[in-house]
Amino acid sequence: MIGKNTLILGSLILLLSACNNGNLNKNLAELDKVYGRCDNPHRQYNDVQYQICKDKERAGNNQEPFSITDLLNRSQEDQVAIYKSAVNQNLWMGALDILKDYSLKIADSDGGYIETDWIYENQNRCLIKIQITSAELISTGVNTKILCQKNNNDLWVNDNINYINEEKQLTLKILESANLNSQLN
Amino acid sequence: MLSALLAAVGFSSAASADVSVSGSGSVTVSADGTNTETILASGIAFALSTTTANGMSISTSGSISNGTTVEAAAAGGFSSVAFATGGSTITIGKVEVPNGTGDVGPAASDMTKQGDKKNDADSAFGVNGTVEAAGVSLATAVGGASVTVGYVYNAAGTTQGDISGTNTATGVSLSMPVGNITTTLGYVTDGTQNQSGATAAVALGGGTLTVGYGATTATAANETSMGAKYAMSLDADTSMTLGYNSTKGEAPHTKAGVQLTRSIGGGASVFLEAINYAGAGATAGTDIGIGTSFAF
Repeated sequence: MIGKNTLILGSLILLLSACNNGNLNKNLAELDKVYGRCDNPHRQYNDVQYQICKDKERAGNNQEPFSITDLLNRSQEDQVAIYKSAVNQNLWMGALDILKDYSLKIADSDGGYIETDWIYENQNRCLIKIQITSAELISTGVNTKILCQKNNNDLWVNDNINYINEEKQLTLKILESANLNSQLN
Repeated sequence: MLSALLAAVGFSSAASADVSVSGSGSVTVSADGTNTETILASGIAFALSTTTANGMSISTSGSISNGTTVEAAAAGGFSSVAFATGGSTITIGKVEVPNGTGDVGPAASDMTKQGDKKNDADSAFGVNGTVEAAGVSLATAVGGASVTVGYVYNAAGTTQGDISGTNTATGVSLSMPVGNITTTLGYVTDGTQNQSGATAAVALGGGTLTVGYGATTATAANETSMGAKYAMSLDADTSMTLGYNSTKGEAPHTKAGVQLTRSIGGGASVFLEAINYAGAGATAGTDIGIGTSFAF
């Protein structure tokens, strides 16, 4: 059965807690300046903690105790490697999507470079080169180049024609596909 | 229903936990004119704490040491749990009620007071009953004042104690600024002895002057303690403390002491201490200690 003294003290504690309108930590800090942290009458230490406190006080060491939790958290963070690609993935997937009907000679996702095999039609052949130049989904993040050759007596020679309009059309197609990918994601 | 009630008083499943450690070591050569001793004291203190989603901190602590005196090595602690929320901290378990308020004097450490003069003259002033045992304490702030109330409900218990125990001690301590003076008032009783006292501290001449007066009433004999202490920094790394205390009662005696410490970096320091005892309740003479300590 709870004694009278216990009930009285419990009530006193509840009353004092309710009356609390000060900042205990701030008051303790002010008392630390007067009495020293170790001898502050409102801080409780056991013998070992008091001794550690006094040794810290002598050394002028105000460091907080060493946190093992922080050390373990930092160790876990150090083991996680974050890799950020220089190639925008939506542009990359968009380019692959546009060229899906052609055989690819080179597809370097790290460098963002795609090159098709020669595409043959009659006595002509062409290949497409695409370079993704940005990690962001921007209209200038794609460079497209079309090279074509003619068969001249079994010898393939460049036709020296600039396919600017075709390259622009291909770039627009890649950007459209990339935008669609970004919306889906 | 239960989870909502617990959440309202600060308990929540979401918490931020921390385990921290601190420690120190020291070696002292202490001489009293007859014997010279080396005293080593080292220890590690662990603190376990967590903060609930409502901002209440729950903590406990333990320690391992080789003994802060020449006593045997000890592992202990984890004998109380503290709940801190808002401006109050409630501690349940092994608590120490405020005791000995007004006892101000020499600042020499336990490592220096290892000579033959560590006797009745060095016994703590205040209620001599069990003031650190199973109980509950509250530390709170009321405006600019700090209040600590402690109640030991079972002097025979520590981590376990019958709250209806008959051996009890109750103490209260109140500290508040009065102008530029910080005053502390205290009262403690264990049913057979009462002790009350007051201290006043003021910044003076680059240091802090603390004076105190305390009185103990007991069935055997009454005792009073009056003392003063002055602590100052000599430079950025060096500090000095002077202290004097006069205790009257069944074994009247005086103590006077000086402590000089210098930080040498890396958490280490060197210190020189001397404490002189005189009077009927002491073996007259001086203990001197020279040592070094480090802490992290």
